Amino acid sequence: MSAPNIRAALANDPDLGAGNVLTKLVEHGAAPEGPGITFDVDVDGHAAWTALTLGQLYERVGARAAWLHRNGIGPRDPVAVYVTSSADCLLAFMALNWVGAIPALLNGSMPTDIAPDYIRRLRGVAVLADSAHLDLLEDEDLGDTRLFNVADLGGGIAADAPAPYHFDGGDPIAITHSSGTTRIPAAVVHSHSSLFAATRQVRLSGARAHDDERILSALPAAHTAGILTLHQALCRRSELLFLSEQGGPFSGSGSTVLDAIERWHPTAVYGFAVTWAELARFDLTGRDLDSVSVWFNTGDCAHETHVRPLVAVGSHAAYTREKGVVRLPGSRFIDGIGSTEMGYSGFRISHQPDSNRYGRCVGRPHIFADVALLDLETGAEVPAGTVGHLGLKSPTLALGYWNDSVNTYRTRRDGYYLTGDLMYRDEDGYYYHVDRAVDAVDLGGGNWLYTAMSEERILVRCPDVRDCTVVAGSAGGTIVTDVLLLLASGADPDADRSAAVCEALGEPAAATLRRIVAVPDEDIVVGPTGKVRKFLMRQRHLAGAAAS
Amino acid sequence: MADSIKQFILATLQEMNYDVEGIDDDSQLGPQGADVSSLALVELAVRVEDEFGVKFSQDEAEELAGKTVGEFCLIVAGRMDPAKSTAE
Repeated sequence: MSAPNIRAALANDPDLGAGNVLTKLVEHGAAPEGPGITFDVDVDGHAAWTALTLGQLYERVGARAAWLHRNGIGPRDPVAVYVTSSADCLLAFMALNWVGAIPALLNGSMPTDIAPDYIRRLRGVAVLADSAHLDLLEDEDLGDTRLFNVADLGGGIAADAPAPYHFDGGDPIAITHSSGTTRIPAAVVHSHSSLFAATRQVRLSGARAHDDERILSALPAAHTAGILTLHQALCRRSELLFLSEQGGPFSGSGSTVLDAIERWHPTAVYGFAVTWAELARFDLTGRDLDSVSVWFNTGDCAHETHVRPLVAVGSHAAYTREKGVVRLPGSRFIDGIGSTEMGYSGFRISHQPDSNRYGRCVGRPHIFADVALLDLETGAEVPAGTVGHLGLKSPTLALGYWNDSVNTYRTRRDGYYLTGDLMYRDEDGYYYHVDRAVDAVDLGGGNWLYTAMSEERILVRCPDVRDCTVVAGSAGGTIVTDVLLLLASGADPDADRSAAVCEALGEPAAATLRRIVAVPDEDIVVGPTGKVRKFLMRQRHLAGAAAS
Repeated sequence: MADSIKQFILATLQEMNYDVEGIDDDSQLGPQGADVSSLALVELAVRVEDEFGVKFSQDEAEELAGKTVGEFCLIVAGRMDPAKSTAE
């Protein structure tokens, strides 16, 4: 069946959801020689960087499903997956869904002092781990949870796989974890319908796009965004290259991603904010990026200074009155804001070389998102221009926190899920993210320090600063603010940037400024997805403040 | 007025090599109906702009995939100069 007809067939299948995309594609007659996935590692002898067709992918996942079935893994069994490569992660995910189990995906970079406790809290029946992670777990007391080497799964016989499990829309099909800005990441459970709602409403209903024909993913496979990308690529019959580990250790990931673009020539590159920050290390004009039409960001919204160099390169097809369809220089950057719990970005904005709506603008709500900015004291919506807490009603919302009803219900109010984000909207209906609620600091007198918005404003005012982190909190009853700068290559570490930083912070917050310091990368504490762990940064810096 | 807008849309799609047989007011422009690609929606929007003196942003043009032919006609009619619309 042709790709357009497949999309219509999928859109009209009410049983299709996040737990059965692969098997439904085959059931609906998608061409087996069509695109499956390309990985950056070998898969059961199939060479890295060589595309698996849909038929090959189905057979390799079927083999794994057969192995799991033979080893007693079945419906409703929570199974942790703790691996490094995107291939091991995504193939295990699809195979576990095939047998009706609930894959609980761990980022392979989850620290080893945290992962065993996280796994114990899952109360799962098994862990699938690669050799490196098995070594880390072998001395841990995981109770009755069985340990399997994920490499063994490919030894199954696809023909022995059971019939794909039939999911109801509300059935749990995946547990993914948040970025873990405090100690133990939250385990978030998604349903068959919730984790597919956006793909159904946006990707299957939207027009066929020329710019997502070849998608390079630098997203972490084990996270919500990784699963969403897998499903939308398969459903739209796009080619997909899924890099492992977001391109590797972050300080070298920008180089890995650029090399991958030049080697594979994607039309679209998907990533988290950290990927764009890392690409900012490079002069992109000297690289062969012409194939890229769109950069797609999810998770935290991106900084203007990281977006502008990206949209200035690449190329895109356009229709002109004079010449019809032509290829023009420049690309688009799709931004928004999403989280593990939200299940998809709640907002969307498109930046182009000639667009100027930045300042942490995340655009307008997606068609499926009912959003409200709330005053949590009164429960009322705040007016335009006033900062409120983001509440979201959406079919994409996760079911809740696995084995944690307390926090599942603590984050609900009047039917809204409280995302923990502070935002305002303008009179035109555009929304702007100012900070995570836990990171914002009350300065008194109605004044607040919003750390994320301050970082955006500092970066715009200091072009030789590649990235920055604002750490603020109370030390001994006094609010202090430290501004930590990651400088661009060649920038003067001793330059006086205090005037620009104070202007960026604004007067009330500038009065709390203790120091501005250029720091090496390793001084910034990040979680497994590259997100800065401000909770730990505050602890460290406020302890330093108390000591000094 | 809506009839002339509809006739123009269908004729334009045909010129752009889309099969419009069976496409009516209730047919979607996106994958559930005419299956017009995102770039072709931009071309369609530009041609409609030139014909009827209305304006669409690129994002608006791409979002037409979720609209039916009838809905698109109403949007165009709603954006047209009221005086011109009445005169015709």
